[in-house]
Amino acid sequence: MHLLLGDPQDSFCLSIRHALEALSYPVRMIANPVVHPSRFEWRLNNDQSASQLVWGDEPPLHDNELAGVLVRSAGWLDPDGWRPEDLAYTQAETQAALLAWLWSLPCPVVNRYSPSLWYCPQPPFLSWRPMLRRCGLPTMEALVTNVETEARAFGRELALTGFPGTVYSPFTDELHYLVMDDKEWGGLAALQRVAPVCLAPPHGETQMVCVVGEQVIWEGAPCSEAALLEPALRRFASEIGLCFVALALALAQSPGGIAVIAVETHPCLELFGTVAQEQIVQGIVHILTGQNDARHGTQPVMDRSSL
Amino acid sequence: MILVCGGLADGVTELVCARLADCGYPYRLLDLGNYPAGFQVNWRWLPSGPKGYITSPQWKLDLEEISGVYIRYLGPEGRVTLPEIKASSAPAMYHEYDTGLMVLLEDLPCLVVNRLGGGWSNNSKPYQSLIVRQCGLMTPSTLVTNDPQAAYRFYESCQGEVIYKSLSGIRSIVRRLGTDQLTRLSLLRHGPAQFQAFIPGDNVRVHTVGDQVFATRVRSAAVDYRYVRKEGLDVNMEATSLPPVVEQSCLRLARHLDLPFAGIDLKESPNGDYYCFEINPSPGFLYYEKHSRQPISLALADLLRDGFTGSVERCTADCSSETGVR
Repeated sequence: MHLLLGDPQDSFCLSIRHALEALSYPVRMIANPVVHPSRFEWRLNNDQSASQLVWGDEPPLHDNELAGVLVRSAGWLDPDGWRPEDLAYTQAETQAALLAWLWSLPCPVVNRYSPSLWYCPQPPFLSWRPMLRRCGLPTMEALVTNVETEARAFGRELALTGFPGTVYSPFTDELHYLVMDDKEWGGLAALQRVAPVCLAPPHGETQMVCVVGEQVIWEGAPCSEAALLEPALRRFASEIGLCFVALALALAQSPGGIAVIAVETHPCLELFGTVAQEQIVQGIVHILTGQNDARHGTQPVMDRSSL
Repeated sequence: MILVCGGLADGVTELVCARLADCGYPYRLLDLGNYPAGFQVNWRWLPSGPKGYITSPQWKLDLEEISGVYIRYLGPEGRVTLPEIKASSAPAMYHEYDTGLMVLLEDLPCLVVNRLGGGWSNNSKPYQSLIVRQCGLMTPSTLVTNDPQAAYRFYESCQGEVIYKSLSGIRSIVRRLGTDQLTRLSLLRHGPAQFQAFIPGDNVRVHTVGDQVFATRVRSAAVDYRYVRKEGLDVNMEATSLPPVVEQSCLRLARHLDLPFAGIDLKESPNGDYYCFEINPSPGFLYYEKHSRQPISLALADLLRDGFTGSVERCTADCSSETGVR
């Protein structure tokens, strides 16, 4: 049995479901296996880890009967009917149980997230830099400052290099703001009086790429400079222990050269066109059905041999 | 130069500063109670990593001078909000400040006590249990379930000697599963809970500091000694030693989670087995140092100065001193 954890309308889950069913694999889609209507039971001691799921009057599904798990949901509860304080507690408990259970499973799990990515799925881009650097993936310069003159100097430097402005991005928000004229610089200075700001050069055209197991899948044909990054992209996926991760690259024609500008640890199929989508689905099906020998597809960080 | 990031209203940060001062180890305090007010930061990420500085009214610290960092993030309490910030926006701003600082600390090449990565495991106790087993420590027989019948079966299989506690990082009091709770097992249908076989014996709190281990035996009749006063009971603490194999497992566990400084909760059963319950990435060791008089803060000061390499020139300051914060 393959388990697909996600919303019933999730297009990714549905695509994987269709692909698995076309190969005659039994599949169940469920938003959250550790809450009603599932009956979840997991026993753990020094010698064994054994879990089962029961739905209605069906026979139990034991963990060793699971062939693969696709994770599209971190076990979010429907807030309807909950008091906020109770919801927050139960949500935390549910996510804690689900994270650990996924790590206890002997089958392939796409993705088996580390606790940091489970609880903080979209960390600020700057936080990826140490690992991107270690893997040989280029990034653009950035400045964090609450000193107005330093921010202005950074902007002037970018202008001299041919950039049309400076991009301000809050650490805790996905929004980006292009700072160009004096009024915008004045607004930024006002912000700097209450918080350091993160500035980076604007980028031009971007290209999406993802790693599925050992396969690098591009949205459109990569330029030669981008194609050279494939080993580094595989290394990156391996380092973060994900068998499916997407990155956005600013292309070589941008001032400053090719650079990674975003990492998406929970990628949507819609980030890619139909050709790439088909490759991604097939790649994930290969992993879920045990046909992919990608080491980081099944045993990313923790040595599970003792589990 | 050691950089301490924390709030002086926090006793643990205060103790770390005091110990560094006693030892004569130079440090700078980035007071998170006020940050960013009064500080100027300028960090530029080059291909090789971040360069730049932090200044306060009294000092300027170049990032390249930082040899070790101690960080203890603050909650909303103990923070002074800038007058320009509405109270309703303050939590979001604190999050923004902490995230920006975290991004820098994660990318510094020096020792950071502790980086965030391994600490996230503390939000899932059963996840930690999986790692605990892998590192050679024992974990109590555990059930995680949302099925009342499964919980009852576990209760019976343990002859009624069962405790329950939170699965997540939300602090909860460890309690015995008794007849009152058994009548409420149907509530499990709303979400899973964690049950464990009760392990009798002494609690042992272990602090790993680099490659050093400090164990404190905690004797109390309370199920959860942290709340001993609520139960009207006593607690007694003393320094103790661990079997070498348990010490090594504790160090392995801390290293596995990339925690140069960690608090590990063990219990020694009457037959001498050591069970591990959790590992804390930001241990409030003040309580244990005060009661067991073990030089935990001294070891931490040495670690911050020397990293894991060790040094023959160790500070000999008196550990009972808690003054000297600057």
